Amino acid sequence: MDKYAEKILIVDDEADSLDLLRLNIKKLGYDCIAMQDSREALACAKQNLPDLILLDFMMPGLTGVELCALLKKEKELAHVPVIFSTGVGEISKKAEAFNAGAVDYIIKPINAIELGIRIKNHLSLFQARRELEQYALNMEKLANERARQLVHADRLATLGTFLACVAHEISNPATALGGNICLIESFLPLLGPKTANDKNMNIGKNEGNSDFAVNSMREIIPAMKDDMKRINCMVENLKCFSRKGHQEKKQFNLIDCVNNSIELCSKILKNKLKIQCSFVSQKVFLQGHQQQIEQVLVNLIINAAESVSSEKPVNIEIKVRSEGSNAFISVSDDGPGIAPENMPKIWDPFFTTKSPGKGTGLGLFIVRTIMEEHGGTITVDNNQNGGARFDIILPLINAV
Amino acid sequence: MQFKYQILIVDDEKNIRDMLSTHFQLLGYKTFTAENGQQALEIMSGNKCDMLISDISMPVMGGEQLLREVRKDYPMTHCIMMTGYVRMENILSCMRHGAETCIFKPFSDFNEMDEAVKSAAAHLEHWEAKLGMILKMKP
Repeated sequence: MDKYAEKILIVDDEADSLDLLRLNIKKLGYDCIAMQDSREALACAKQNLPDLILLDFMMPGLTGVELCALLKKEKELAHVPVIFSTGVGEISKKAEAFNAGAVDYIIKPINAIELGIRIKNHLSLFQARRELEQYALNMEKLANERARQLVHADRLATLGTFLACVAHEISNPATALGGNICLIESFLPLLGPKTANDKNMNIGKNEGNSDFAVNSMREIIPAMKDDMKRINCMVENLKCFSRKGHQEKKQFNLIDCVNNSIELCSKILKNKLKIQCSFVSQKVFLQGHQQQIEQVLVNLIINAAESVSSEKPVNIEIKVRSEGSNAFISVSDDGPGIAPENMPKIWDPFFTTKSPGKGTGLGLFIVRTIMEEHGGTITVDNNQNGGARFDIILPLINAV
Repeated sequence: MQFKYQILIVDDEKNIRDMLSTHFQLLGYKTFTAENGQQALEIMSGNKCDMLISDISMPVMGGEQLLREVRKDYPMTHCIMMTGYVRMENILSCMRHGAETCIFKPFSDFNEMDEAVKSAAAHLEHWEAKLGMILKMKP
């Protein structure tokens, strides 16, 4: 495979100069395009997209400096390194050359070896810069992807906290349901002809028992429907919560978001917390990822619930209001609050006050990441009469 | 109607209380229900409860504490425990405090539950028979 030969555009009004230069450049192994008329050089550059441009300083019509300025204005040519070739008498014009955007100059008569070195240096510099830019772009993409994964990981960790409670929440209605189904099975032989498959319960089929069976069924069936609904609801909540978020930001109502979080936590951490909320208005619109803001609130609520180890439920107060161009949320609890020495550390990833094995410590770190992603802020303070209070500020969506 | 024995059912879930109540009524037992340990003790102080079927995690007073109180004050009452949180501590505690067994939720049939109740009933019948024999003996 032929190694790619870089293209060098040379512009010089003197024919002899131009020819000599072209020869030298070809000898160095580069492709060369030579233009004598500086006015045509711009069009030529646009068409050929050279890797490096060598301009003579003094040219009639369009001077080297003017041509350089024009080249720098073109989107596809702005980054191409430009080297001026100047006569000894023009050295004082160096400043002009650099201001126009040149990266170097070479003094005529041009030394072939020096020319070769300068061209090689600038080409490799340019190549290196291009690779670096690409690398930085890739790194940024990777970092964004990692951030998304981390947010998702925290979400799953939160889910883990829920699981013990969820298992309990599903197992109770499931128990009632299972038992009731067996009961209906037992009732069958009391209500109709007995078949070989019926469970032998040694209960006589008399009027008393039949009445009992029918009356019980009237109560059992609605109870079964109710339990089935509870199970389905819990499964739905889990599915919703563990779904990976959307990529694009969308408009959503913060009040819905807060209500969802409260509903989820109340159901799952039933006896551990009592949540009171006050919203100044029912519609507070933001632009962002609703699921992530829910994650933030759920994290804060769970932290509050777990700050107290006794059986007494934690009281949590959530307030939402909007003022000016921002929405304000405060989540306040009556737990033990945050120890002053821990205050600066709580935002650090992996900082936790829980015993080893419980909690990853990612929670507040992720919360802050999500806030930054949404252009918002979160701060914490201890309440006057005990407990911690988190204050969130998020920008409202611009009124359409 | 003569009831076989009287069972107290304790669980903070209404649907479970109702379900167990109906089942044991169908089998000929008289049933009482309570929402938590404290209510259970109140009922027991006024009614003869031969057996207790109780959940472990309940607000106000849980099953573990109830079990301890009942074994202390009503030694002839058989205690059958249930739990949704299947953990070693729960099981060991039930065992050490003299529960008949501990049934894990969710359960999809009454087999284990009925076995435990039958076994408790057999135990009570045995002692009742013994007491009956002594009463018949002339001094």
